[in-house]
Amino acid sequence: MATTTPIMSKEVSSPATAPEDFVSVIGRHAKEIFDGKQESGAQALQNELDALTAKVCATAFELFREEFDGLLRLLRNSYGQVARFVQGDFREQPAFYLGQLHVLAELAHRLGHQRVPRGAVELVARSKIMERILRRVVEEKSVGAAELANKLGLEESNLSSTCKPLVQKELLRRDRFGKRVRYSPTPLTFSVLGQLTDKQSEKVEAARELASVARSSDGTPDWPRVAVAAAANSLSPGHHVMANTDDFLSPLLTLAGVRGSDAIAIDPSGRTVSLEAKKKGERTEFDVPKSVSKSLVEQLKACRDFRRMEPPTVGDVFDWSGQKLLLASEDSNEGVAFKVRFLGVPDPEASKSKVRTAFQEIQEEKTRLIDFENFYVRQVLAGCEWKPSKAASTLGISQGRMDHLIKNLHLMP
Amino acid sequence: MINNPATFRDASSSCDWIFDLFAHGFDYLNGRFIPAEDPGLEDLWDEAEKEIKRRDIVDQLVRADGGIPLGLSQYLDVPGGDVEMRSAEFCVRLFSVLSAIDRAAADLNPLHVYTRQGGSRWSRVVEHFERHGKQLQREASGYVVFKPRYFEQGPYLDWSNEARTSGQWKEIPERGEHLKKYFENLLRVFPLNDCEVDFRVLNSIQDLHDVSWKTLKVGLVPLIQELKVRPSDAQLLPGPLLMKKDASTPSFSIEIGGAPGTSCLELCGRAEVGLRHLAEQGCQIVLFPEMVLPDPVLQRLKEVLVDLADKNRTRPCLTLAGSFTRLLSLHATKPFNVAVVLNHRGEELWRQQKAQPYDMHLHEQKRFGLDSLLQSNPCRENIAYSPRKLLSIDSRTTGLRMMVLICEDLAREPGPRAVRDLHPSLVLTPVMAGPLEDTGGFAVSIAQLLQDIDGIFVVGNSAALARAAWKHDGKAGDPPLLLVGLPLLRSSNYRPLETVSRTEKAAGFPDVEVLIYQFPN
Repeated sequence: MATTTPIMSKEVSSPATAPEDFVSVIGRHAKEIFDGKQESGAQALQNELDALTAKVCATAFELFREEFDGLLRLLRNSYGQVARFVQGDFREQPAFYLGQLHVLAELAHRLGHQRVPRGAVELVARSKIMERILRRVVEEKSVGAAELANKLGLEESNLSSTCKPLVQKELLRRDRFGKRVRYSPTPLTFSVLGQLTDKQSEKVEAARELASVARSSDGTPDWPRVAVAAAANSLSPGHHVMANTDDFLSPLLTLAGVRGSDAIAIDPSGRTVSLEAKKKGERTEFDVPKSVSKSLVEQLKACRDFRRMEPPTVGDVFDWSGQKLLLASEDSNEGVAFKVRFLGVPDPEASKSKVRTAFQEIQEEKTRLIDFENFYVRQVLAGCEWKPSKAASTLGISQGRMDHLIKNLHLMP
Repeated sequence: MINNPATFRDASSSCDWIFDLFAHGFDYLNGRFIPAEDPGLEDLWDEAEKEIKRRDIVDQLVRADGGIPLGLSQYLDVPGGDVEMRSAEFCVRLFSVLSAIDRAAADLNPLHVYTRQGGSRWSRVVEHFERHGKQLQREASGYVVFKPRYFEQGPYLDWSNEARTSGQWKEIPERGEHLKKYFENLLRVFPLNDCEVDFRVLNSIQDLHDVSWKTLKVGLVPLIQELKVRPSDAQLLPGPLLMKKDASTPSFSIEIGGAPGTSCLELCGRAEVGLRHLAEQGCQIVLFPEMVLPDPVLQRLKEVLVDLADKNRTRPCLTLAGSFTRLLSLHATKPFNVAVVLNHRGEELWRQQKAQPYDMHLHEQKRFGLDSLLQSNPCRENIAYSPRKLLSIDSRTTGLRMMVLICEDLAREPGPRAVRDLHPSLVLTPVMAGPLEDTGGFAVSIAQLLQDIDGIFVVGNSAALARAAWKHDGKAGDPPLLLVGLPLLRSSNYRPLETVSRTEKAAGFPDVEVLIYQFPN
């Protein structure tokens, strides 16, 4: 009886090299070359420096300065491993300056190799059909020639000749499996199409998409959705801590800030919130009021969905009143669990100030709501000729609750 | 090597690095399965591709950064029974997984036009590649390396197209089936048991810059014109080089007669005139032959290139500064036959040692007029040749993979096997041999290799032995000293190569003969 081998995800057994390992390996190879006079050490040392150069290039795409701080430490320590073999003033040696030029050229090459050649963009820009082919292939990820021709309304033979220069320029990959030819995108395909998308029209399109999300089936604006989108939108930097009356996340963030936490985890029900302080190894869990939990979860979902409408350049990173946040979500049978992590340690003074502002805003909201409740119930009573029973029926509350409101809100004709 | 179901099953279940899995999978499928035409498999192909797409395996591979993603393992679902593992269903599935790995690795291939490695994308794999000899595998035997660009995709696209349009050249028809041709980015190289391979990438400041490849122009300076056999040695003229016999071995060697510094002055001058002329003519590649370039001449060539660079003159991007015997740390007493390659500023890019000594047989000695001197059958070139090491050099600027195979190495293993396995796009071969006729050993070897790989082969000879043999054979005119193999077939004779006999005088003093080959011509 045949059995099947167990299936498991295999993470690589060793993670990326730790900085201290890099430094010690560099030191060892430097010793081989400069003390032991072993030729083989030179190539090995160069390999280590190539890996460091690749690290520098990768870091160039990072958002935050902290990534560079770690890298600089690593470079300084590596430098020390080689510098101890220098005799005299190395600044008087041409090799010192050659080395710098070598690295600059290497960085220029590596970064340049991640930029699109003009000729490739021009080739596609000149031909609408080529652009359509590439867009369709990107959409499909991999598509048979016959299917692609059919979708584009072309003869297969015409498609083949149009695709040939695209394949030659590495804008398209062509594979033959069995009798059939399949096309798939290359890294260059994605980049060239990205270049061709006019930034302005991209923004208009994003706005259009946002608007379409907030429309009902007959095309009229779906007000609750618009409001949710607006709530999410208002999380952009501003003078307020809370975005609006449904923004319960912001006060929770202020709590995390003053308690020295670096993340907030919200369970799928929105009832249980944990403040996590990784460095201190602390985790504080508490329940938020039931009346708030649903709004809290809705707000987080809106934030997540709102980000997904944007070009995926920086991930789910938000700016919350000058503090960068990373929003992560995880789908489960119970719903969606969220985690909001501070990127960088929040400034304690700023956190205190935010708590004060948030509390003030809660108070103001409360006042506004009480005032509005007063105004609203008064107008209902007036419309009911000041008959409490009729007004209670209109508002869907009991006669006793109506009497209580009239008393507490001092409502009189 | 993994070629039976049980071994592959064990290897795949224990491996945790995607490029090891690629190696194991490739080895398992190699010779067992080719994705060629089989109408019975059409539905399987469609199904496999659909699943790869549905499971988003290519993206999962990128995110796993060298790990083996769960989605891939679940889809591959290596069966526990040998019969199922040999079935077409499993082979199609495995091939589709290998193809997905190959597609995902397109982000990384430094020899292609563009890479997408920003941020944390592939950071672990890039680090491994850079630190571990520009190779991708970890535990698998042999190598997994990047494939150079196709001939059609390189910078030589223009002249390749022009040649075909002229009707004088045709594409080489495909013959045979090889699994590796179905992969664009990854190249599986089986272990070369008799030779170490050193994979190197030219650093960008020394890489092949500032060159137009609109046409291919190759120049050769034969440097040595004549062989004068004497009772105790043979002079390689002009210059101080002497061929001598060591009766005890028996073997022959080439040495400098006199003090190198002073006796090589004439040779230095001739090399300089030849190089300056070929630079002026716009040759991208210049060759000097085997065993004619001792260190003083090498030094002169470097100085000439530095001078041309200082004056911003046209100059070759690659100069194969011939070869000569040189002591390496690998062998304390016996020298290797070592070739040196220079860039456009005269900097050494790499050195390649010869892996096979030349056994000059009696009939060859007679053709060259050396029988009276060497008098042994055969007489071996007196060089060290082990441990063997071949260098594979990648130029990221041009997408070229380059190799130097000195003389015999182009015709004898491990050279040809390394060429077949590593797919170099440029092979330079300095020789000291008879005429480079298009029916000779080098031509036959190149023609065979061009059936399997797309590459350019350049073989450059000195004139002394070639002229002696030409005269011995009673042939008129000049012997062919330059042989260029191309990944196209000449329409007139269906051969993928051309020879060059016609010499021209280089401008300057002393009189120096050079040969130039231009393509398309």
